[in-house]
Amino acid sequence: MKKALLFIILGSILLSCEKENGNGQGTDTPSEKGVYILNSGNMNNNDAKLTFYNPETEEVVPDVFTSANGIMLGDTANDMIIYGSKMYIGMTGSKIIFITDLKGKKISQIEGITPRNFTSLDGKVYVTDYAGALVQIDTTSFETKSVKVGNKPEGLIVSDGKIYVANSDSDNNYATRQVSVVDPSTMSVTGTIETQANPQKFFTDEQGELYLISWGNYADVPAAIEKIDRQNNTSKVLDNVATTVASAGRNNKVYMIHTSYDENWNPSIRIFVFDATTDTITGDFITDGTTVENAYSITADTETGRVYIGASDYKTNGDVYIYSEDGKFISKFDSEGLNPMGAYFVR
Amino acid sequence: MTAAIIILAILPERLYAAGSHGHAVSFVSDTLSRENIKANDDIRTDSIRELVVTAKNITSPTRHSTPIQVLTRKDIEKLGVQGLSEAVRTLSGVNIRDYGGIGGIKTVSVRSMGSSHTAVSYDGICLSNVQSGQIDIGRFNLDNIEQIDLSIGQTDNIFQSARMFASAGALSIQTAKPDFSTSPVHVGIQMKAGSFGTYNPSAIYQQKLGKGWWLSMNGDYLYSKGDYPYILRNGSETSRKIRKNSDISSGQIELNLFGDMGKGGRLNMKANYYDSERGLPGSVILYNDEANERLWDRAAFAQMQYENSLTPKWDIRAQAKYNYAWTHYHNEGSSQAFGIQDDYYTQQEYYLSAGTLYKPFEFLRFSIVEDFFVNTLVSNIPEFAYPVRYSSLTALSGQFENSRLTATASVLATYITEDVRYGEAAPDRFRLSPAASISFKITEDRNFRIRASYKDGFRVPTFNDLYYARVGNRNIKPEKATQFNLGLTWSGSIPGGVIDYASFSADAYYNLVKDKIVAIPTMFIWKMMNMGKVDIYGTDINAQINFRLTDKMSMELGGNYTYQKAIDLSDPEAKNYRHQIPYAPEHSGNIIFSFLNPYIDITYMLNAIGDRYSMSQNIPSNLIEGYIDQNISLSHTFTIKNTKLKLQAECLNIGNVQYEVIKYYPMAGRSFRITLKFTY
Repeated sequence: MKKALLFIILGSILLSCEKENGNGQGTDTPSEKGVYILNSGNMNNNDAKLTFYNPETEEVVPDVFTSANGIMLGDTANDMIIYGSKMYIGMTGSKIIFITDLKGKKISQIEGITPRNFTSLDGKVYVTDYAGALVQIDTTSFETKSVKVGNKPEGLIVSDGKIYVANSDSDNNYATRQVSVVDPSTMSVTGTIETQANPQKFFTDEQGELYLISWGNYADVPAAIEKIDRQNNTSKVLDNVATTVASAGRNNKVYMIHTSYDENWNPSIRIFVFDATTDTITGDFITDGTTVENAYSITADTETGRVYIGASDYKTNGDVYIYSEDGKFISKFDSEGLNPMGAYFVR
Repeated sequence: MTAAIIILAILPERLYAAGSHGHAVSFVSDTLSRENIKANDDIRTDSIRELVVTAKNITSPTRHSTPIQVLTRKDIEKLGVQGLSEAVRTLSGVNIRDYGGIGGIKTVSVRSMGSSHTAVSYDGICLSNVQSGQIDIGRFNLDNIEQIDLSIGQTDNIFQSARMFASAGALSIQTAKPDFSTSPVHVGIQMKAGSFGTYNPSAIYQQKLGKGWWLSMNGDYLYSKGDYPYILRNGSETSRKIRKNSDISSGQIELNLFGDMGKGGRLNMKANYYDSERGLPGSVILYNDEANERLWDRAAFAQMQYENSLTPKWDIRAQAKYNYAWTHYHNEGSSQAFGIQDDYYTQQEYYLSAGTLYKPFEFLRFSIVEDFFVNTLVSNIPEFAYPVRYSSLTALSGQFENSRLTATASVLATYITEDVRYGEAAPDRFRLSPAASISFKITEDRNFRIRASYKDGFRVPTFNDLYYARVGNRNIKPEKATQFNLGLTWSGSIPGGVIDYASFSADAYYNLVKDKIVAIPTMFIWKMMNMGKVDIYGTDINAQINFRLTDKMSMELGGNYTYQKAIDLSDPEAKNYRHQIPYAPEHSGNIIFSFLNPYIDITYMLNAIGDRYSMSQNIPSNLIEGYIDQNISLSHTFTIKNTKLKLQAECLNIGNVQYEVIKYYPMAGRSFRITLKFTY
């Protein structure tokens, strides 16, 4: 009995030695052209994932960043941009921007910013910083310049050489309702536009008209689709249809995800087409009778006309559905990560 | 859209931080133990000296018709455990969520039904936290604890507060009662010191006040810097880091007054004050070492219990309590451009309970207990609902007991109504919860018993579930848990050998949790919903053998093993359909070995937890590897007349294993602790 005991004790001490963590990552590298899917992951879980999809072979390459660099992306990827020969991946929770080549191999990183969303103009990349700033990144030296905007800035867009920044003001119960207009050449705020509560996302149409989606204050101010008058720096509500995200496609069509609830807060999600010529919602996007459960993000590929819809239940890996621009199902793949934020195209 | 995610994902933590410290509590329930004093038909007391000592307090766990596990003062001292969570994790069927460090939140759940289904009582009265439903068991110092019971399902004790009938499992903590047989005054002073800047002095004073009356006072102070090193893995790289903002300082003082007035009954009064400040280190975030959250708690309660045996057939008991719990949560993140976040919450509870036990015959008893309590929550958050809840719980039970058969049936009626200052209150709720159990001794001459039990329980939505800004949903229903248990037990001694006492139990169980209350994302924000359905089945096996080597030397070997499947059946279309739910290991177990002798008592403890998943989907990226944590404790007591000096040294996590209970909340590696205790 005593011997048996001793054996158990020794055995368990040996077992306590740490197991080596095998790295079973594949060695596939993305081909030249294709689509990246950025999965935000679950907050505080360091599980953001970058997935590559080849539309020709329909091959899916998971966790490209870790395979290429041996380290993980980190916590809560919110947005990325592919500009020139580089990709900029913004990690909100980890407060870092990774700059990589088009295969995901890390070139540099920028710390000290809480990145949200990206845009680009004239050799520079711009990113909103949750600390209340718009940051300009030089695409060769990676030096940054910053200008103070409103509280918790989210979406941004280039229009007529200016950068429009949506200040959500989420720290202050969405009380200040403003878009900041920034002159990128001087990195200074040249104006502000009063909007509905919680401005979030922009899109432009083929005539260059500028639109805004605001999410409302979840209480008395509803969500809205707004159109911005850039001459007078004003904004007017087109519709109070609650829209989370929108992506402008070809032929002045904009694809939007819309949610409504019953009294028990069970959501029903629909995907609409907004016609930017008539400024009205023309109907459901999907026309072939198929459905997308839990639609979460939408990205139109203006080169092919395809529409990539990310779906998420916030618990398990997402799915990406591919539809033609007339709303017919083409294919579907696992996004290999939680919460696919969008599709990003390597041309 | 990620704004939504961020807001949301922050929320559970804030909800938690804000509501996790509902300190409530207590009373010395003399009757609880009295109720448990039963003829020990399972044990030949004359042959076992060790057990005679404790037998006055506990029925042999193998006799119970539902699984119960007991840790006595002696066990606690032997194990050298510091906090309640360290003690409880040695039990089977228990799942402890530990966010690491001394100040890290620790909650307990039984058989993966969730911590809100597990009641924690302190001297017979349940602790409550109507805000978040979570009780942080990390707060309890074990120095003045006499006994800890963990019961699963409805216990055989039918004369307890109605609230104790309401949960799927119950952890009961009983504080020590002084023994004035050697001296009318006792003084104890203790100093503990440990790795990572931990100091924990405590003192106790007990005074006999005359016939039947006594007074006791105890207090302790705890400080820990908590800056332990850990290894962070990032892909194929590893780095050595130090846990930051993991400090805690806390103080607690308790006053007890007890009076036995003979035929006039027994009166017990208790007052307790707790104060703490701690850092919340948060989960480890890659590339971002910021940790700025802090939490302050102040909690006080006063309570009174009166009980009397009116006739040999009638017992009565009444209890009253007032509880106050204040929390301040502060966050100063660098990205908080326009200012810092300061949330204040105050919870109050007014509690009354009265009950009677009627024993018409030796073998038959009935009880009825009524609990009425009011809970309020106040906060500085804008548009706060200021909810007030009135709860009435009535428990009616009957029990038949003879030497071979124990059969118990009970029903609990719950009625809840709420008021709010802003918005709309949740609808009233009424529910009947039945329970039944049976224990049968299979043969007259052997101590084999078979037991079976059923319990239908539920948990009421918390104030956070119902009213938390934007996330709360007033229309959610209570979460239901149905439990079935079937087990076999045996205990006894083996005559003529060195085996002095042995016990064994094996239980198989099935639980069904329906209408699980979970946060579900809607378009922009998360909302509390009744969404989940979980099927839980498994087995708990416990064994204990005590060897008597010589008159002064003995060995004790105990172990338990749990196999468990907890499967998510919420949505057949989901990718996690039929997957194991997060943080439920399929395999877990403990081994405890003690060698007691006149020189140095040695106890070795092993806690093994199998692989788990951090998220719903059972895929490699969500896997948290299993671990084995081993502790060893050495102690010696010097006795000079009535004065005792005990020296104890412990090594925790001997293997220096880097493990996590909750993903990205690393636990400390090997550490040491030393205790010097003086008692008179």
